[in-house]
Amino acid sequence: MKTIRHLPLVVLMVAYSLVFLAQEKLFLDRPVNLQPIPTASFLRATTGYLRQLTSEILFVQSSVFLGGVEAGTDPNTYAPALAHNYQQITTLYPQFIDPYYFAQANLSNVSPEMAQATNDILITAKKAYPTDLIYPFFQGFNLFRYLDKPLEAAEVFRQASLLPEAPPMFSRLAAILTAQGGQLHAAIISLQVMVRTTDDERIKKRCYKEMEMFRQALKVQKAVNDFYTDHHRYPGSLDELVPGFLPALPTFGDAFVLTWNPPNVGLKRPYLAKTKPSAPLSHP
Amino acid sequence: MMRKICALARLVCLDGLRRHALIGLVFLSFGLEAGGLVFFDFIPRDIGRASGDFILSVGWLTGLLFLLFHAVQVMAWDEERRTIHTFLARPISRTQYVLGIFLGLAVLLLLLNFALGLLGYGVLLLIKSSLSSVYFQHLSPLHYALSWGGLFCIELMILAIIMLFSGLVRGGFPVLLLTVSYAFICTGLPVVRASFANRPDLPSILPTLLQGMTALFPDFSRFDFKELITSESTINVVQGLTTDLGILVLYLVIVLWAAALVYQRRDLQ
Repeated sequence: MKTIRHLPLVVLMVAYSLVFLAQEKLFLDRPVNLQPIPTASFLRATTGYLRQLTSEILFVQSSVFLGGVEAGTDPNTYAPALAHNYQQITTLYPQFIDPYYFAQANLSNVSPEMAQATNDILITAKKAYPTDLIYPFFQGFNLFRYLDKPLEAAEVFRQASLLPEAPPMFSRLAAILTAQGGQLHAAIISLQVMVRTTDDERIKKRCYKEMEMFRQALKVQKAVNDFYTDHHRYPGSLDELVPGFLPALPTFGDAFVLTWNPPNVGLKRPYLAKTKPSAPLSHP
Repeated sequence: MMRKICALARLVCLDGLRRHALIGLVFLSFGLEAGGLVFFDFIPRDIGRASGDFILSVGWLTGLLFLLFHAVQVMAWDEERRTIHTFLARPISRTQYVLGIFLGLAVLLLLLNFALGLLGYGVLLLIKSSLSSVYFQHLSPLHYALSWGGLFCIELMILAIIMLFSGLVRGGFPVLLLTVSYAFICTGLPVVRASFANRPDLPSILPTLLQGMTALFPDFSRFDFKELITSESTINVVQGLTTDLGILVLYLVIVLWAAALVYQRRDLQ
């Protein structure tokens, strides 16, 4: 009698277990989405003294999500939400450095739009850490690598080169990217400044070598200008300059290749021309 | 006068120390602070900063729970249990009563913060010793103490407001609601001010009005020194500290004065 009295409870418990398992299966099977978080202003107004911890927890949430992304998932499906979240997290707590590194690692290579979003996030980093060199480096790298804006990248590197403790690399990057953007005269001037400001003989030697290459590229630019004066149009390719305006196009070994974006002749590192865009984010 | 205030404060303090809910809160907070040892595992690089924020945030949550679930009740309990009549039957004024309760609760808060701060510092030292210095470069004891001092200042301001509200309305729950509303206004007002700061299209009276409101509902973020815990600079410690302290003392005096005035006119039924 006592057992029969408890039978409905047992039935209920079994039913509960079955429904629970069904719910678990649905939960595990559903696609994991990254939800956009509220704006930084709203979070600031509601969290108060817990502002910093809130932004850290939101960052952990985003990084846990990234760790669970299925292999082969198109990053464009979650990148906008991720960019929005990093933007809000960094606005809420600009001194917290991890979101900047994660944005650079996981967003900038997805698409040019996301590279731009990463650079917008890095603006906050530069304001919070004005003397830190890593953020202008990230920003400049994104500009020339993913956004194809060598002159803007050169400007970012030039500004970074003025920071205390900035290594000569920044001035050199500025000079090379100025050349890539077609401003060969400016690139030569940058290298001349570098030669005058450094005591390192190795760097001086390398600068002289690159200045010589830039001067050769300038001769090509002059030939282009002469071609334009004669034909009232720009050449379709630089090969058209040979032999009328140049005996031969200069070669630069492994250092540079000539680029032609009418009306500017530029120089580009050859290995950058060969590399493909980064593969979509995945985990083993 | 001070002797009577201190005697009452001692009673409030002892009563608080005997409460199981408060003892439970302390143990819960200890557990949470020890949880910092797990939390830092989720942070890849800026571990020192995140750990310091975590410890101070636990301190803030604990202080808030203390204020909202213990401090708001103390004066209401005295009325409900009629102990207020016993206190006032002695030669003690209502002003002394308000100040005594405030002092007692402030001492309890100080003890709570001290215990949590000490444990938190131990946790931070443990985390720091287990990491490479690049992830946790600095742990300044001075800045750490200053951060807890800032937190204590915020808690004291809220406590003073609780004293005022406890005189204005009856019962612990309405005081709790008013205090929560006050804390939300204090937190939200700086955001509203910031959003209106660069809006020339708005009437010029609005920023002045919001500035005036900030005097009533202080910007707690000015007492938030968490970001200094991992800072190596000592210059920013002194900057603004005098004005912060001046604001705190004057605010407490004014609010407690108002609380005493209100309580003198209170019908104790």
